[in-house]
Amino acid sequence: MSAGRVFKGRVVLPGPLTCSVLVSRQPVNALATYIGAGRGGPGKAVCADQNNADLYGKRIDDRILCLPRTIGSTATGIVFMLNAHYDLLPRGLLFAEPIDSLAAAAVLLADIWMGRRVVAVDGLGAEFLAYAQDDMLATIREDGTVALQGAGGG
Amino acid sequence: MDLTSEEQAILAGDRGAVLAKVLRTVVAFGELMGAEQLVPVVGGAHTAVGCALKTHEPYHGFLDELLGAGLKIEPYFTADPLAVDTANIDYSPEELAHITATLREAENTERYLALGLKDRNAFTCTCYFEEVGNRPSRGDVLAWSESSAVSYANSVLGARCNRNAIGMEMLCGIIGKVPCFGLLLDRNRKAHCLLQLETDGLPSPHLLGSLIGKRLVEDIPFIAGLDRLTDGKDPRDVSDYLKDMGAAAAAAGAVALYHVENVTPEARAAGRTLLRDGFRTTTVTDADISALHKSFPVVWPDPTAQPETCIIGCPHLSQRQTTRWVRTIAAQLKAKNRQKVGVQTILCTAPDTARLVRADAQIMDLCAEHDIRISHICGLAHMLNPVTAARPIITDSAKLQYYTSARFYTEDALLEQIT
Repeated sequence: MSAGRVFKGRVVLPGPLTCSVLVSRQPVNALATYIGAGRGGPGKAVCADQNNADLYGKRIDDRILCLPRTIGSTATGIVFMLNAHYDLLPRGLLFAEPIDSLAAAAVLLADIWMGRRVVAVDGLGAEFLAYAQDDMLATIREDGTVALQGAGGG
Repeated sequence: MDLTSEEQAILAGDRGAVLAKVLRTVVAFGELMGAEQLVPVVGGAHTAVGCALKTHEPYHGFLDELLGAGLKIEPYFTADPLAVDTANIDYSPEELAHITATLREAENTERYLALGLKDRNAFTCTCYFEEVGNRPSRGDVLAWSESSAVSYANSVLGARCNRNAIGMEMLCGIIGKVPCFGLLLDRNRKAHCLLQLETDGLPSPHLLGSLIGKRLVEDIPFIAGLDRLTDGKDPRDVSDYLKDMGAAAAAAGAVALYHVENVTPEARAAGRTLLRDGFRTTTVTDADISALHKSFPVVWPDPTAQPETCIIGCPHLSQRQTTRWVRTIAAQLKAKNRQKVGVQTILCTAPDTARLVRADAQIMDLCAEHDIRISHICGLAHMLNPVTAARPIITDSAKLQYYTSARFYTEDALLEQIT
């Protein structure tokens, strides 16, 4: 595995965490992603958002999700709370942009009220999202440093 | 954040562990979003959760934790629509079996009433209609979720509300305060983009809104040229148009505020000074609208299937929209020498709005004669039933199309399908 690249963002909810990544180049609509996502089978969440070609049909619960930001429904909050309970959330979220109000509230609600931490870092920049590729290995450190390596991207 | 002594005491647990946890969550949220203080909300809160499913039990547990601590939203809150209406909609035995197995609406209504729900009719995404009563005034600070209602409150009424995730609006409602950031601040309400509408006629609000959401994502548009197309129309019809446009923009993107030149309150007051320095310009033409329409996917298992149900009213229809649809459908059926609609047609509106519609005997006669249903359901929640979702359903709502398998038609094309 090559050295890869290191990016620095702001800690939203601290890690550490090491896991492979899934990348959405377009903003993610959490409600559309998770409506029917449980149809992937017990204990699995498969993206059901037909408008997101990057994620549609891919398993999202066992990965770190790299994304610009979230969009769409304010249901993001309850989507995170329910899927926290059912252990179907991504393990981490890496935002290229500053976190939006929906995602910020959602990760806090899952963390404080459901006891499920989704490690999250925001403000990683457009270059981060351009570099990230599906199946790369991400190592998130507690200071918001994110190292990406592998899967042909570096 | 700069907290008052009262807020610091709550955080320290002086008023109980649960209220401390509530405030801790709200403060953490505010700090992430760069807020420097909490500010009081005005009027009722609004939550985007109306329907209650068995799978929502963890969320109900969260609400029960609040209730168990004796917490309540003051003065009240309203909620999005319910999912089921057995009095006005035909369900198959399979659909009813699924509803019985999964729905928990009666139990949740009691929970909501204990938490401060305005009344048993307070289930609608259009809580701001006069007859519903949760209607803010210009400048009021709100704790609302439901993206379409937030968009309407900010843009058409000039209130101030951020896009609050479900759960957070309940916590802010209990505290009676929200973190002061984003659209609560004058400087953040200026437009990023001058959107010049150059269509020949008034486009479908659902298509225009969807295009705005996809093109601008979360940026605030200052829309020029729409006033030319709405000039002379009844202001209530213009507000309804903006309701539908804003809902689509909030679903396809994250647009929580738009200004319409000479129409919306802040644009009327400040004109193009609402454009921020360095704003960009974009144009919308009939070709853009048409291209977007053609890009909408048809995800029915059999794209050639005959539609079984038509859902109109996402977001909920106003009284004027409801009666206009009834009259238009009836006129079209008479022109075709047909008596009843060919597709189960459901006009979705608020319970309080439905009460006004049902008070009009002429309209109710037309509904009975042509089998047009008026219901309080949420089209989206209705389609959470997988048995229902597997059926060919059509709609004029880009928002419903975005979240479900419903197929989008413009109003005229939808009318052809219904009749």
